[in-house]
Amino acid sequence: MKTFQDIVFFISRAAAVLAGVIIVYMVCHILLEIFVRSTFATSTFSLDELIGYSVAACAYLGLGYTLEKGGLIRVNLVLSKMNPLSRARKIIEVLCCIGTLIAMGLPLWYFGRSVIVKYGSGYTSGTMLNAPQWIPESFLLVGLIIFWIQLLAYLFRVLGNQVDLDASRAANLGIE
Amino acid sequence: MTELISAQPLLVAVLVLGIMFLFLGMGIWVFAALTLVSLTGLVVFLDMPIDRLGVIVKGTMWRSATTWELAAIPIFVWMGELIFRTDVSERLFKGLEPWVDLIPGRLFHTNIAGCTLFAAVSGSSVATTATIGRITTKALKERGYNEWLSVGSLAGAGSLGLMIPPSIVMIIYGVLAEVSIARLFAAGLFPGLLAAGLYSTFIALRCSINPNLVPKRAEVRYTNGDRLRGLVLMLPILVLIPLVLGGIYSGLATPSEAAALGLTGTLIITTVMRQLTWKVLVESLGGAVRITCMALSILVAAGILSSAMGFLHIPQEISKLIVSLELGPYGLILIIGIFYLVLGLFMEGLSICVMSLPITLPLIIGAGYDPIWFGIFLVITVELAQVTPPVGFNLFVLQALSGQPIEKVAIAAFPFFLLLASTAVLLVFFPQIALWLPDQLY
Repeated sequence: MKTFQDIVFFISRAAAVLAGVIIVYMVCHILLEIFVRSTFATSTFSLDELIGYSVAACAYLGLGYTLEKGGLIRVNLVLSKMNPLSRARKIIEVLCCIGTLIAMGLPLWYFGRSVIVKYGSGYTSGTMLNAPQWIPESFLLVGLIIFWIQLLAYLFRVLGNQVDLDASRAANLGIE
Repeated sequence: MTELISAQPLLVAVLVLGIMFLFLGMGIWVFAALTLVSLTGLVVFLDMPIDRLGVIVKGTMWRSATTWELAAIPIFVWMGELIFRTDVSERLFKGLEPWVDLIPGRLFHTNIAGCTLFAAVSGSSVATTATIGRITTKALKERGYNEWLSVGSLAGAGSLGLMIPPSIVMIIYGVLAEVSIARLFAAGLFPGLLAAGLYSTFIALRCSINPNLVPKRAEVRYTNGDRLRGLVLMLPILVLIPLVLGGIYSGLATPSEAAALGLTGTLIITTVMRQLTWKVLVESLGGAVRITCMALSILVAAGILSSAMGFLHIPQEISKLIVSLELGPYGLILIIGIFYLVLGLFMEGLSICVMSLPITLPLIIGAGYDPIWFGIFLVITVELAQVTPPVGFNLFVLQALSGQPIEKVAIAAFPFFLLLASTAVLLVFFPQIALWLPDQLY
């Protein structure tokens, strides 16, 4: 069980590192755009499209890691008033996990289908870059899959009483 | 159930909103709760086939997440995280010290001025409160300043992080409401400075009436040389502000470009200051990833919610109801303001902003308000939500920094909450406070 948890968090962290690298790439591309515009009065002609893909990739690749670090916002008002060791608190946490697995399971499934269809048909963006659409969509798909598995790992920990459900302590504001 | 929509559309709206509060209240992560209520609404009340639902949700997620203007969010957040991990805020405090010494309330004003200056390079009020607060709460307490006025002023001033550009909430509002982010950034400046002015005036008045709030003045007075040295200490922030805001206000750079330039400036400054270590770089980038994922996942869910509400005709039904009340523009803004204040007690600001916009924005535009003006009004209400208990992020930060219970922190913040609410009222009666600058610049 511990090995499974460790492997899942390792994958989440690796995806978050990739999300970080994508942020660095975005900065570099934007700076390059400013440079070629001000110096050569031209453009990279791909900024909007590639940065758009990058924002989406970054947002989803880091989602599993953010969940595990407690960085995703939830309304703790009721949860913080409950006894963290009570059965009711555990049931609510399990329901929260199942609800989220359903909410993210549907887009995960349809992104999966879309990537397979677009890979098979060679569907491209139809812009100057003509990027094959299965590539950027794959980043979202991978991010969603990792988030889903990370949440499943969290659910297993809740079921195995390995999570501190004290909501007031679990509040992570992103600034440590 | 589909008949219910045509027979009792308002009932459906109430049921959907009820389900939304149930999901949010039971603690489902906000982005998932908003997605789940959208799915539930479409399946239960429209009998939408799963296949169509999947295609709609997938399409909306893709469209919302690939908006390139959103690139400004991770970059501005990274910049703030970098500054947070260096001693820039300590220098800011020391630099401001000789400048605020002559004003009644002295070092209390470092909270206001520090947050105002930091807000001009940071897009988040949590980051602003934490960055300035971790220096000032301790320093002011050690020197004998009244702890409650210190904590309260910090709660109020920290919330300027969202109003004084750059601002994450403004970027998200700009994308959702399809208005220029640069215009929003221009519109936020004067209302932010107005709130800061009100805070400082209040502190000066309180300290003039009750001098015991401030410790006795030392014999040694600051000289002009000290003030000059103070400016040198503040140099990192004073260089970054024109780099970030100058580009946007002059129209030479988009918000994303200004963010990239600001980040480059921050990296150079922290390298020159010998504070940019590998650890700082990695930790700040990790923080940027987390906040970006949190904000963008909610934004994408808001897109899905907006589509679902459109299919269920909820905005139209609530609009019809509100129009039938014949409230007039001021009555409408009062109702919306109260609605946000009540929601702000229980929820965090960004979530309130994104989940309510599909309903409130068409109403506001219909009543003749400028969407840029409403963006600023909304940001103030989001800020008010940050300082109202039991759920207010600035209060959480101050609770952690001061070690005091949240109730006491909230009471200390209350006068500043009223001052911020007064700013919102002034903005309603004098919309030019927000609209003058964007009208001049663009």
